[in-house]
Amino acid sequence: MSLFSTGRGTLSPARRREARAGWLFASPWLLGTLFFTVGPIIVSIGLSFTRWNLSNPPVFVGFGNYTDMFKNRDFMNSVSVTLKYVLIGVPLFQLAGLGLALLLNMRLRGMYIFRTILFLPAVLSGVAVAVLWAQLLRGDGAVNTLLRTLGVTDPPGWLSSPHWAVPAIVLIGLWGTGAGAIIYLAGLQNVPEQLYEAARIDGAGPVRSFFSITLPLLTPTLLFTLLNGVIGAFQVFDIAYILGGSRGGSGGALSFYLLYMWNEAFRSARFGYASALAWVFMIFAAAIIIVIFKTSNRWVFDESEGGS
Amino acid sequence: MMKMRRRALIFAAAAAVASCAATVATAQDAISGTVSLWYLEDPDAAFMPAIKEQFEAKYPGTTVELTELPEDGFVAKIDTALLAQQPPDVSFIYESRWIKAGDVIPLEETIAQYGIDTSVMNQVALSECLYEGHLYCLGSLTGSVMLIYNKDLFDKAGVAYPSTDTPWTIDEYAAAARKLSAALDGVWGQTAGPVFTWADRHTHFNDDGTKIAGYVDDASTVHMYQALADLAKDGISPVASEGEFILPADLLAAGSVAMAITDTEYAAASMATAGYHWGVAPPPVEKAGDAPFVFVGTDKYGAFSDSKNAATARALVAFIATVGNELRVTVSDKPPLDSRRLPQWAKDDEGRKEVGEVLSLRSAPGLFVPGFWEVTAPIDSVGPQITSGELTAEGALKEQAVVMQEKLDREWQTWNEIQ
Amino acid sequence: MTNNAVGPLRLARTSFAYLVLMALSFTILLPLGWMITVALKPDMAPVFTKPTEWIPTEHWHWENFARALLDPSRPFWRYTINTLVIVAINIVGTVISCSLVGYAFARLRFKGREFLFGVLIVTLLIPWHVLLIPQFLLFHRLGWYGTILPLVVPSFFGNAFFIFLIRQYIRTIPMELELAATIDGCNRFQVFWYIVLPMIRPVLAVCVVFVFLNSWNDLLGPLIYLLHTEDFTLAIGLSNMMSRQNPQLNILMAANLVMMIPPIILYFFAQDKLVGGIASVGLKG
Repeated sequence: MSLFSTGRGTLSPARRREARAGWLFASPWLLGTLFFTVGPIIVSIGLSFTRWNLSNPPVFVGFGNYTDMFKNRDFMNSVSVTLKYVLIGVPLFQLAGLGLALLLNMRLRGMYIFRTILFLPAVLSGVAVAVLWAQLLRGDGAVNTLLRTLGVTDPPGWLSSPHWAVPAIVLIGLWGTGAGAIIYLAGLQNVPEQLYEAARIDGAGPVRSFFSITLPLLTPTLLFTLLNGVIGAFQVFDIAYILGGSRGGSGGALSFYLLYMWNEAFRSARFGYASALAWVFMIFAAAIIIVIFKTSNRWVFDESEGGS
Repeated sequence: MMKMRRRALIFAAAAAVASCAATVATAQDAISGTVSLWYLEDPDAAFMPAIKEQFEAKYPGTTVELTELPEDGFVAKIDTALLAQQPPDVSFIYESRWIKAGDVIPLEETIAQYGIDTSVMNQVALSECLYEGHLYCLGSLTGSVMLIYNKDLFDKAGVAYPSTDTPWTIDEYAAAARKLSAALDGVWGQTAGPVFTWADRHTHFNDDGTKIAGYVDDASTVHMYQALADLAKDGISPVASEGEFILPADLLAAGSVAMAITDTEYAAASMATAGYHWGVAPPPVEKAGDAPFVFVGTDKYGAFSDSKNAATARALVAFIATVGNELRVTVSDKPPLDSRRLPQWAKDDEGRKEVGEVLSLRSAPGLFVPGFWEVTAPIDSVGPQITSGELTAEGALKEQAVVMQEKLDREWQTWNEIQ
Repeated sequence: MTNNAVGPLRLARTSFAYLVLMALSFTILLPLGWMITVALKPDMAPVFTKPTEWIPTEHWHWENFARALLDPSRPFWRYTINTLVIVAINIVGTVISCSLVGYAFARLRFKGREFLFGVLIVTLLIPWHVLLIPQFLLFHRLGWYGTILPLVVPSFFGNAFFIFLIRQYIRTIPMELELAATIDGCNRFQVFWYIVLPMIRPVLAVCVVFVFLNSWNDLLGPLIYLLHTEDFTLAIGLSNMMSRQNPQLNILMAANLVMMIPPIILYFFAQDKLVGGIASVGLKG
């Protein structure tokens, strides 16, 4: 119970009450994490030091799995495929999501319809999206036909090309931006109308009020979508699995990290190795997230801090 | 889609065929109660319900609980069920490792008890169910990868049909494709997946499946890859960017390709629907005189050792292997595994008769290679480069042979650890 | 800037916005048209045609929709009910637990809060695929294997994604109202219930939409934990269609199109809840 100690005695009664309420309000998540996540995590860390094929008892191998992976070509390939996707995808998804949300936040007649249409890709199952894009991204498919019309003489082979398979997945992601825009939309509702009025009276144009009002007030939302975008990009799985198969498409061009991990765990029955893959992934991703967080207080507007 | 490839996975061949000495049936428990049956990928929705109905009628007091499962996640589903010691009584045996780990009941007793003649079943298909001389699963259906062609287009181009018993060499195949493409405006000569997906695995591996380097990159195998790449380069076949995500069956049905090496059943149905006359032949081989090889898979059902109702589970497996073959013809209208029933399925259909002939060819049994698809994946990665002429097949395969041997060693290590 | 100048400028801006919106909608509706074309094709007809058939012209096999829904081996209505039960419980659980926890992380000061929030973010990163087996063993030991409990109970214990989302949202809301309510003698829970909850309605609407989509489309969870066909969900039924040896793309697309309808309806109405927020409690900036 020492974890629950709040340094009694140093706080005023009001602050003590607040702290108690804090623990109480947060308790569902605390209990859930302790119960459903921490146990399995400990098991999984333990397994990462073993070879386990699910059929026989695990065999302890020390750091063998961790040293093996850095000698494995497929591992290196999956790391580079995943990083490529994160680097290309995350900035594009952020910009597209914000741009679309601003557009969808305009007060126009029929906006409900447009919002709903742009949300449609999110409700399609992964399988349907995959079948659809297999058609659109063919060598002579709609995307390349459009590119040729625009003057691109030699459009890429997309999913079958080792260089263009990842951009193809980014393109599919961009097509589904409309679903993420709803998060920005909710954030935009929070920008008080009065602020805009005040800015207008001060003679600010739409561009200036965007940069001095909308954007700062939207930064908590942006932090969320950025983190979530990075995490989502690291964890891309479904669409690659369906389009490229469990082995990650032609030449492993779609062999994303989690796909590689899944394949090692369930197709190859190397569960200890797959657990080690998971922990390397966690450490690496956590490092990136921490960097984003540490820099975030420089650009994220925070009402709670200002008000306290 | 990768469907073709993944489907071929089910057809993955297993250890060499050994004679199956039948042991005499011993204790015979009562056949009654409930048995669960987990299945996937059945090409006919009516088949399993028919099995259930007829099994329950034959053995009063039994109930078959059918559960259809998707291929995505099927392995994880069975693995978790095995961990919970609650596997289904009967299931599609997707992974050979379940057999090796002792999770599946050997069927000798069952085969003897129900008088099943396994010699009439395609040995390539059954080799997936064999481990150290014991059979662990049986099936009712044949799925195969053959050379399937459009007879109308062959006639129009004046190209002679391939024979149903003597396979073309790869050079004969390529020559035919060129002739077809030249004679027919706007029609591709052929389309085929990478050679390893349909050729005898002995062309890529040594006899016990432990060596790939020195086999995948020998002159005759390299020649097969080069010949197909040259066809793509010369515009005789669709190149990967156009062909990969299109079902060959669609191209055949559209009349835009004259022949293909692909899933026979699906392509045949598509062509018949499109109104074409079609024929089949064994896929091409490295050189004249090589034995024909046709990749054949079956719906391999086995009973799990943790079954609480083993006697009934074994009866159900036997039922699928016997009555199931009959139902494949009468209910599903699909080629059965029991070759004696093939004529009944073919009826008067010319193409189907040819399928029967090709299936009856004595093929060498399949070669078991653990993680076959993982090991051969590098061939896929260099495919486009060979096609574009960036690399020769020889250079690419020689380079990849080392990588593939590494992977193969790792797969064998994992396999050998399973006890 | 005079009022006269605003008129034409506004008109130009509006028309440009409409143009962009229509272009974007086009890129979504056209592919949808292709899906409908596929859904209306007879069996075995080529699907990946050249050129692409954006709208159905030749085939009108509407019965494909009935075939997708009425296949006796896949009780579609049963699946729908099962799925909706799981979805509904998850929505209730997530909204209750995540708004409480999100409020704690946004507003209530207690020692270790920042550390715990860091832990929360880290749990977002966990590749759940690899926890599948350990978590399975846990649920199995609890005797939950073969029930919907592993699919719904965890939602009552919060979900890091939604807690984070709600926390971020609350932090943008001015604190004055809460302070005023506290001074008026409201306790923490009353502040949460009467002041905070109404203000965060937009973000809760977002949560509802995403929880709905997540559990509506979840394949692996139900597949692993449920044991009987009559307990299965729509996602499993849909995947079964795909894994047929002969991929019946027409039936698959028909089923997909039908399965899209409930989330679309939900989304259409959830938009109403998006607006409001601060405005709904009449805050003066």
